[in-house]
Amino acid sequence: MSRLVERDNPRTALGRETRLSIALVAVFIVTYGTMLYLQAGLMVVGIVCGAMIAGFVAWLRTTLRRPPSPGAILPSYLIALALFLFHVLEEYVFGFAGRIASAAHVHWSDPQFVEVIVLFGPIVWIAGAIGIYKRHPLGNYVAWFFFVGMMLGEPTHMLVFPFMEGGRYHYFPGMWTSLFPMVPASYGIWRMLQDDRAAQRADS
Amino acid sequence: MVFAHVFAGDGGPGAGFMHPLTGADHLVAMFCIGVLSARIGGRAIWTVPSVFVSMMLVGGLAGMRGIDLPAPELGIAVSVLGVGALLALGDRTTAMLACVAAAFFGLYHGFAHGREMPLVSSAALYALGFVVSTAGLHVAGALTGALTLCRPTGAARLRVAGAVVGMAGVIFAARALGLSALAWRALP
Repeated sequence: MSRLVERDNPRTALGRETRLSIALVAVFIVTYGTMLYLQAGLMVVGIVCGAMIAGFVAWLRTTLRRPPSPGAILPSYLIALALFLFHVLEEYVFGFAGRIASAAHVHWSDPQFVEVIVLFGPIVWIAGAIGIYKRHPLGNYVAWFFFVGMMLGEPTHMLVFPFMEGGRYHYFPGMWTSLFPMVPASYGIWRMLQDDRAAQRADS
Repeated sequence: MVFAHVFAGDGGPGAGFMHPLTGADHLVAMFCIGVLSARIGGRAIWTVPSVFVSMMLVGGLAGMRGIDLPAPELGIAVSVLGVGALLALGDRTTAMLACVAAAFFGLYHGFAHGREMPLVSSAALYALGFVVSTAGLHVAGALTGALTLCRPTGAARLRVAGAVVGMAGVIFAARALGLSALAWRALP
């Protein structure tokens, strides 16, 4: 706690590191969102950038100045990440990229799926885990994005995608394992909010 | 030419926007130009990227008009190697040296964008697309560089990162020259 107060006192202006982190996240959301729109279409942007923006807003309004202790969120983050990667495995094995591309009328090949979800994604998630451990503002944003993404994005495998091919409810790749990451993610969000409330009480 | 361009796009600003983002060599070089500008600091934070973008437009125009530059793939690989080396040099890299290098590098990257412009494209919209995404990469790089320098070990980390980027440049150069089967397999 004392380390956090040293980093960013809530009664003073935001520190340089925090301001730069906010700007970097904003630039990333705009650039990556545009890229994703051009590559994968509006639906994928809605899910991914929706989670990014919702996570960004939650981060700004809660734990921006005081990233929670790693003990509070790192275990749930890592468990959610492991379950998410298991979910990605199901998607890959059953051909998620091809099915979602044809359902959404966009071009998204298996190599592109591997490049973005299997290679690029884990770099961000692992860097996020290191950031959470070091209580870096960017690590805290990644935690918000990941947890919110699991809560907003994963239910689409059960509620939206199965209706996209002909309107009849049926199996869609990734469906069986889609809800598992939501359990640790919801706990992670709850712990971050608890941590923020405790810090606010301590300030007042 | 240039690696892993997986998306042809709509032939307009979308195709231009995607071009720098879907080639690993473009992406690394442009991001690192931003990091380098933050490392030097002061006015360099906008002069170095501005020089890069300006010369990229000149190179883009040359590529669209069919004017030839010698060894374009090698030039882009050398830009990755060069920007890595400038980062690894740390304090010894001056703003003037970085601007001269950025001009040379920008010319080659722009040439590659221009030469790969889809036939159906509007040149102005295509150029607008690649300028916007390049500027985005520069800004992201500059913010990352500034953020890294907030920490006491930041300068040393940037030098190490520069060395790693330089090594990636060597691999790109080997691929461009067709020197080594190993180099082709070293990167996706």
